[in-house]
Amino acid sequence: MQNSNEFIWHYKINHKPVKKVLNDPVTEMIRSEIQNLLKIVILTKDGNRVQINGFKFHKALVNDKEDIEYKIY
Amino acid sequence: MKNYDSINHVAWTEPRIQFIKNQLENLLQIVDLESKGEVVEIDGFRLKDPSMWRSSLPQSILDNFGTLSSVCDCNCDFCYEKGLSKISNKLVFFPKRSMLTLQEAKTRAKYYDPETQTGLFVTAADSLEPTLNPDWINILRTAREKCPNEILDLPNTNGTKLTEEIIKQLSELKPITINISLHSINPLTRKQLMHDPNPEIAIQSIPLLKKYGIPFRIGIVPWYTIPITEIKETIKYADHYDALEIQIELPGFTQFGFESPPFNTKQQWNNIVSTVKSMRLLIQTPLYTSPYAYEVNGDPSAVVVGIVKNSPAANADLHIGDRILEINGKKVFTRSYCNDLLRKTSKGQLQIKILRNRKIREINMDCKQEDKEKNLYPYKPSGYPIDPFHQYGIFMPESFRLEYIIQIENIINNYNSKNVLIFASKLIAPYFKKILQVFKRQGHFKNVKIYVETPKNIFWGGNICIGDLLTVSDYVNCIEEFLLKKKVKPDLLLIPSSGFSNWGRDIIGRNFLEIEQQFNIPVELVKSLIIWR
Repeated sequence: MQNSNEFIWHYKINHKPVKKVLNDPVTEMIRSEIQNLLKIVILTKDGNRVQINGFKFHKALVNDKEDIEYKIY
Repeated sequence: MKNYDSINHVAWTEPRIQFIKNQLENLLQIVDLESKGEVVEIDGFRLKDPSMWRSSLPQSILDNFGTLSSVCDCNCDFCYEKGLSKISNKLVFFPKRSMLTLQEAKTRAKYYDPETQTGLFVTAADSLEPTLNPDWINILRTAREKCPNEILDLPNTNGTKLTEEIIKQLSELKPITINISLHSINPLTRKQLMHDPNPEIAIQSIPLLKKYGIPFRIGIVPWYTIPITEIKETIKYADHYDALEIQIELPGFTQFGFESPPFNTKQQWNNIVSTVKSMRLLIQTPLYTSPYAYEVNGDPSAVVVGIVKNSPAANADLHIGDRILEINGKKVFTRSYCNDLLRKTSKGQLQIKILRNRKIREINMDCKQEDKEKNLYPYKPSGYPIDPFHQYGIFMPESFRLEYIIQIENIINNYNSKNVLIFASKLIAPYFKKILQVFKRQGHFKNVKIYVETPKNIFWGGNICIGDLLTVSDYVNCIEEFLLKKKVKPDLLLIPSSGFSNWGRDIIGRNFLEIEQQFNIPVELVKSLIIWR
């Protein structure tokens, strides 16, 4: 634990995200997480790069009516 | 098809990669990823920009390269690997029998900065016989190209591949040092004990290393089946060919390797210590037991254990057994502090105050700048940097450091703690308790009750007693026993950091903060170095 004399790195959390893309908060959270991960990793299949620009929920988790594709960017 | 790297190899040193893997896996449980409207299959990921993953911890280039090989061509009776397959699913970096590739070494060299000695995160894996890596010489060449002046300390080898041809190639990479696990110069012993099919190669490598001017260190595990006379002969052999150091590793065994103890540890270890103490005075090569703390009961006093041949210390009137009290007027209390001081002291004349046979003496040591080409093997072979090992030939194994006490005091003050439980290993605890009393008498730790406990090495079992191998589960067990026995709940727990990665993980991958979560007592690591040399 840092003692009281040390500089403490403290970061503010924004309750309203700077750039929201999707309205549903859970979907937006997932979109944002994928976007942030793609900033530091490249996804692959058999060692080859795979370009990602969207996602959708597994069918088992949603109604057919909600089979929606969401853009990441 | 790409061979994937094991996540276990970074779990200890760079758990953020494991975190990313977990995040991706969790996401893929609920979403399909798409490219231009089509679902795509993902089975892996790679880091986008390796330069973002530099570690700030300084280390040599070879340490940064990591393990050259996780395989061995011997099968020593005393190998710590024995029985590890029983717990392979628990050990975070249990070897998957990987070899460092030349491509990875070259990539690591690209991102390594010789000035700061920092590079990419290290992949942790069990380090076995490096010469089995078919690219090992080229990997060393890569390190040499990147760091033209650094002394490359080669990883331990059993010597089975050290033919004259190989040693000649190694000599082209000087300045280097090499560590040989010799164990015995009796070919039959090497065959029977190590299952070395060609024992003469390793045995003959010793005079060849001297011939080619490569300083070497010798490791000997005096297993209970090796006669003491044979161990003495092996020590004399290494001394005859001017080894830099001879390390006698007190033989250990785990519960995984042996169902019952193969020998009486106390008897065997004391016998070995007694032999080493007598041999130390008969030869001219630093000779020490490991862990050295056992031999001296944890005492960190700066007593000279060995003197390197042809060094300034060898030319001065310094003897094994001298206790160093001051260097150039600066008081010395521990071996580690003495080593640090010698490394920082400029060349020239050193005034060393010593205690010998209860009398204080002043020794003048001439540490002048020697010509680089002058041959002072093994201390400074021809072409090696001046004072390559930074201690002018005075050999003392690392020890407990008094600054740990200061660190402990600072942490206690930060927490305003009144009941502190501190953990110390079996080897260090006796000295540590004594030094705490000395500090208390000087007015430190006022109104603080300090408990010192020694966790048992339950995970490894056997005769393992080294604190650096304790696991979170060992500490948890110790705390549970303490709470039952003392009926006191401490308000702070202090654990030596040396057994954990820089991310706070033990050898099984458990984070020390799990202890805090379990007992609801703050836990801090006391920054300490591994000393079981």
